[in-house]
Amino acid sequence: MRISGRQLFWLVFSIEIMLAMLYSVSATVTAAGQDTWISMLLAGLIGLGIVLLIVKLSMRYPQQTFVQYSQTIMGKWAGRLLIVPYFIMWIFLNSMVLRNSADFVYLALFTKTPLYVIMVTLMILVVYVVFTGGLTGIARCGELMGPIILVVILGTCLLSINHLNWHLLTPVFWDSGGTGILKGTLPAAAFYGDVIMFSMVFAFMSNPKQALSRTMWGIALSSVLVLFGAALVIMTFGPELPARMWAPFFGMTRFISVLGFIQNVDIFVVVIWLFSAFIKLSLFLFVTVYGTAQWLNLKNWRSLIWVLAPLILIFALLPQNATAPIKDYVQQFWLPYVIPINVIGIPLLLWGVSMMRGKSSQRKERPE
Amino acid sequence: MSNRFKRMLSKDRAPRADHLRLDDELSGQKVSASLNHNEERLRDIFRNCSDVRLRPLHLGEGTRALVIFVDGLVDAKGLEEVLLLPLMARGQHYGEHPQSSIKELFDLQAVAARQTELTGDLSELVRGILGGQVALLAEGEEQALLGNMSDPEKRPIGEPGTESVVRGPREGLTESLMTNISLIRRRIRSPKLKFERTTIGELSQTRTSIAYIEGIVKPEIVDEVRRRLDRIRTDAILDSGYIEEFIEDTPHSPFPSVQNTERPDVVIAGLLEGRVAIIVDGTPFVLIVPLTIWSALHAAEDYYEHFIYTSAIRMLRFFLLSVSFLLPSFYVAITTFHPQLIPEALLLTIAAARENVPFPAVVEAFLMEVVFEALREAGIRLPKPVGSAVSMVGGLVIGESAVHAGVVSAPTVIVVAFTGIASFSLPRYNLGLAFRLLRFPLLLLAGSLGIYGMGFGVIALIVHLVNLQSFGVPYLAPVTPRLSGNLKDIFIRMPRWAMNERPAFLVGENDTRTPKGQNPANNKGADNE
Amino acid sequence: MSVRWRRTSLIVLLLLLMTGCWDRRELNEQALIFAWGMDLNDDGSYQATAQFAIPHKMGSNSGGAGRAFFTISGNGGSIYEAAKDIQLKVSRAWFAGHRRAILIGERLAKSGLAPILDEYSRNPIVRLRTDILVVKGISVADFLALSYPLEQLSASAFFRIHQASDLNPDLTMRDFLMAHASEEDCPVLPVVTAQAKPLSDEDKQSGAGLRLWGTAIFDKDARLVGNLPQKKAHTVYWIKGQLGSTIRPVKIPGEENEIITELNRLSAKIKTTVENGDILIGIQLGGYGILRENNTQLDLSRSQKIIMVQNYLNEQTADEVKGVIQEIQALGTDVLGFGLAVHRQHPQEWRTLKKDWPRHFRKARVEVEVKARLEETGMTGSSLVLKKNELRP
Repeated sequence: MRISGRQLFWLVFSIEIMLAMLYSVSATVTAAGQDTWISMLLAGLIGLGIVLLIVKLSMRYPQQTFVQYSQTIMGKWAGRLLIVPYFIMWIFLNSMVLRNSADFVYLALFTKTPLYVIMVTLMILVVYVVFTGGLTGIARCGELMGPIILVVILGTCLLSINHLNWHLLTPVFWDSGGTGILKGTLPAAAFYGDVIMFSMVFAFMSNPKQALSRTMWGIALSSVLVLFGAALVIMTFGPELPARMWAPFFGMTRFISVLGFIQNVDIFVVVIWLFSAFIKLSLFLFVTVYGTAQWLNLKNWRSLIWVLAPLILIFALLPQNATAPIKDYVQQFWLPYVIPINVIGIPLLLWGVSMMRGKSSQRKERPE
Repeated sequence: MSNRFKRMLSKDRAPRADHLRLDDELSGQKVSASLNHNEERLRDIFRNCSDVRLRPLHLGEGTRALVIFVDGLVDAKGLEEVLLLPLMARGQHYGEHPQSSIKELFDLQAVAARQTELTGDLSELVRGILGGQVALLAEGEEQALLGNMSDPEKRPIGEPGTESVVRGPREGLTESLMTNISLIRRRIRSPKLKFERTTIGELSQTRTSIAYIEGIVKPEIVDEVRRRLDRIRTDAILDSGYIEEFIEDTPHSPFPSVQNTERPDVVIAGLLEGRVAIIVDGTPFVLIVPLTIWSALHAAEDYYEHFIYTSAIRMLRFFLLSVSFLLPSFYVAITTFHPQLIPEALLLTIAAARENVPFPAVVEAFLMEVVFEALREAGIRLPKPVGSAVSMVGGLVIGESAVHAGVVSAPTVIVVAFTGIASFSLPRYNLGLAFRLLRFPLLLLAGSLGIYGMGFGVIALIVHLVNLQSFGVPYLAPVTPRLSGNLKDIFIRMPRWAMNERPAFLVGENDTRTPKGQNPANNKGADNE
Repeated sequence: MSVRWRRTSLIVLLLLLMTGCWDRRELNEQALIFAWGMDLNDDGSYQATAQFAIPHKMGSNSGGAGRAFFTISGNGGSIYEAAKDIQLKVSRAWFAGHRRAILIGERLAKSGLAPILDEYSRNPIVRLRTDILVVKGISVADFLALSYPLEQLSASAFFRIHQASDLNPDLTMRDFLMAHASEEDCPVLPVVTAQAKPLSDEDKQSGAGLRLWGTAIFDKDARLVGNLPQKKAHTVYWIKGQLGSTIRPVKIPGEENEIITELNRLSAKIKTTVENGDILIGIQLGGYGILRENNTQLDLSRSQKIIMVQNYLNEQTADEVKGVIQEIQALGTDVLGFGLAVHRQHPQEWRTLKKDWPRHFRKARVEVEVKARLEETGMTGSSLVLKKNELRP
């Protein structure tokens, strides 16, 4: 299983774009009003910072996955202990993304179809690609679907140009102020935290030197698009309505009307969202399954799919209603625990220890 | 459960020796020195084969000899003039060599056949005779002379029935292997073009040729083709389709991993890109491997017409491909799940047309698709004059009366008809078949889950395609994985002078095909001053 | 392994498919709603009215006489209950995805729209591009039952009349919601009217005086507080920058009749100054005019005459605009975007001003300057119908 730099770029892009595009805008507008785009800019920079940390750490051990090099750095048992929070994060992130995707599809398209049907069918697809294609298959799907996602998003933005009001972006900075903008940055930046999943992927790069630049470009492109998307949303709906909307960017696509004929193109956004969710879910499932297999020292990682996929499905079915997963999850689980511990804390710790050990650890790795 | 599984596995045993195989029956047997014995043996082998002629004769100085050939496979006139007459009159010509044997005849190249060989092996002798060669045995000789004088009946070269072009060569391949090889050789006069011979089929002994251009093709691909062809054990090969099924990468996939063509220029274009062609005697369809899905969009004429026009046509084909695959299910999905997608005026028209139709839209579309396929099939199978009658009746009854009677709605008929036209416009018939087949499950998905069901189907298809390979080449290359840096000949076609390299996913080294800097706009020369 | 796996997944898929079709609804099992009306009954309950299309009366092969739609009303304590009451009277499940007009009765508008707007923005099938209109002088149920000769569905007629008057009809719902949610603006809605009952059959056929009447002004609680007739409403949209063109008569002193001009490419600029809580609002309106009618004796082939007409046009328009603004200021509802302008131009002062903006709006000083340019006079200079001696030099 090897992936190219181009494939990594499209994977990062298609995984980061949709969730941030749809869900981060609403939370950010609540805090930052018409200055949302500044918040988005800062969030993108924070995302790039996270990438820098994770890639720099991973590139010290270019042949090893996160699970492996944490053991190389901290020793066998401490390293394994460090993976426990990640294992929890993998399982929950998987089930939450599954739940979110299904909820979105459900709200956008269905009224009577049971939610579990959407989840089960989505899971079948994900298991299909992870089982038959592995990372290679996922990366190829990403390379194929990523450009489609990009084109549709750019198309939606272009089509919504005709009813924009530039004045809605003013006054800049006065209303929200520094605190408002920073408060808005946090929920937006949180969406880029899941780039930590890629610490398991860099080891499969056919040319590890490209890891940093391609991941950076992927995050940069998606955050720039989210920035533009947020600005377009505000220029369409003003600074008040998006805060109360469930997915403002989606609302904006529902608002498109060109020549009175190109209307209700939101269905294409749903399909694109499905593509993105599919890639996201399959990469995350792969990371979860492969990481768990390495963690438990299992040779046949594929057989773990049959254990973990149902587990994820069950966790995804647990929350009661549609707003609970996205809001509560970000507020109660992702922001207070995952971001400080999994995304920043442990990688920094590992980096520090690895720096202190210096070259000795690198030499140890060579013979293998 | 595991027992059953083991049994399934054990069924996959090594191929059993077939008693019909000529080599097994005659293996190790030699031509004996006694002509009588040989004659007896051959008469036994060719018992009741009324087309095999054994003609005893006396060579010039009186040695008894036997000429064996299959009537109809050899050039009868040539046989008389070139072989029989000189042999019988040999005494006068070669009188100074009274001891001359068949070996000497061969060494002196004294038989005026196109190609001669000596054999002492009985099975080789028999195979040669059946392959259209003339065998000469003589008293006291342990070797037989085989002379190639084959001249089987063949069809004249005509325009190919499939893949017709407006502009481009009009010669089509024929059923004769040698004719086909000559058609290809005539266009590539280079010793780098190789034709490797093999024979497949225990009974049919079908001659097959692997063609490739040395220096362009990746040796691994040729090795792989050889390996897969060698693996085939069957009684007869009647068409290259038999071979295709044996050498496919993923036999359960509806997508072909082997391309077939009736056009020599397409074969050569494939060879020049580093592909391997498998030419089979008895069929005009040559197999070309590896195949990528993008060739579904490429027709032979694309390379003969102007590139701007071709690029536009390719985009049209890409659209039509999506239409032939997606349109019926899209129609069902939006009318029964998401009517808000349809513009108001159109919605009212469709609603008015659907008002009295008794079937649900998905059933209606499914039925109409089946009827359409039936019409198409009937049109192909029936003799030409009847076929047109069928399409007339079908078109009138289905198109007019059914709509008037209110059994089906007019929009469904329009959708099905457009889908049909779109599926006919794809240049690769076998790839079009895959998409045509897959639109039925997609229709069911759309009928049960709407646009989401379609998304499900499309993603599942993408996953399937992404995992496919054809002779080691990913099926979606070079789009994913992007093996070469450019897509000059996939969705569009760049002008000839801009397509400088051969496709990188097929070719190892030697990838320059047209040197750069030949843009005529930059090479106007002196008259520009 | 992989064959067995594939087989199982296929079976699961087929099972899912066979139990599927939860959301499938055929077009001929649905009643398509094209317009929706809400009004308040005397007892305070809601009355909902829906206009349904009759598909077999539509399309090319219908040929059937009669109207292509019908209306049904229902009553209830909430919108939802009223809607349920309608469902009891309709043989098919309805589909509201193509509802393009929502009509609000005047009485309901006066009591406040806030409680009913939520449903219209929550339902994911319903378009956000909807035209909300206030019906004046006739009950909503009667209004929806009117037919219009040009359109098969009278719902299209409301929409298209609105569109033809050079406004963006499908933005009214968004604009209303945006203004309602903002801290500066007050919402407006267009008003339609028709001849009140009793109607003769002939009236019903010919649209019964269906017309766009003007604009309704709402306060911050989404209650209707005043109406502006269409001519004055144009002024409001001009100041807001939403008007495409307008027609202005110009009176020339000493002339009996008027010159009629049409102004296109309208523009508006609002410049605000805030000094010690005193707000000065300067409005500069621009446009390019075409002379449409000259009923005077002026010879307009001379350019100084045109400049004279242009000056009169600007003066008279400015006076008129001022009048309209004063009328709105008296209501205390900022529908003109003055608050937005102050907010953008003086964000710091706005923080104190916004707490009591209606009061500040009432007493803001307004200066209006119109800078329209007359560019074309049509195909003739002076009027062709006048004799030579009647022309004034």
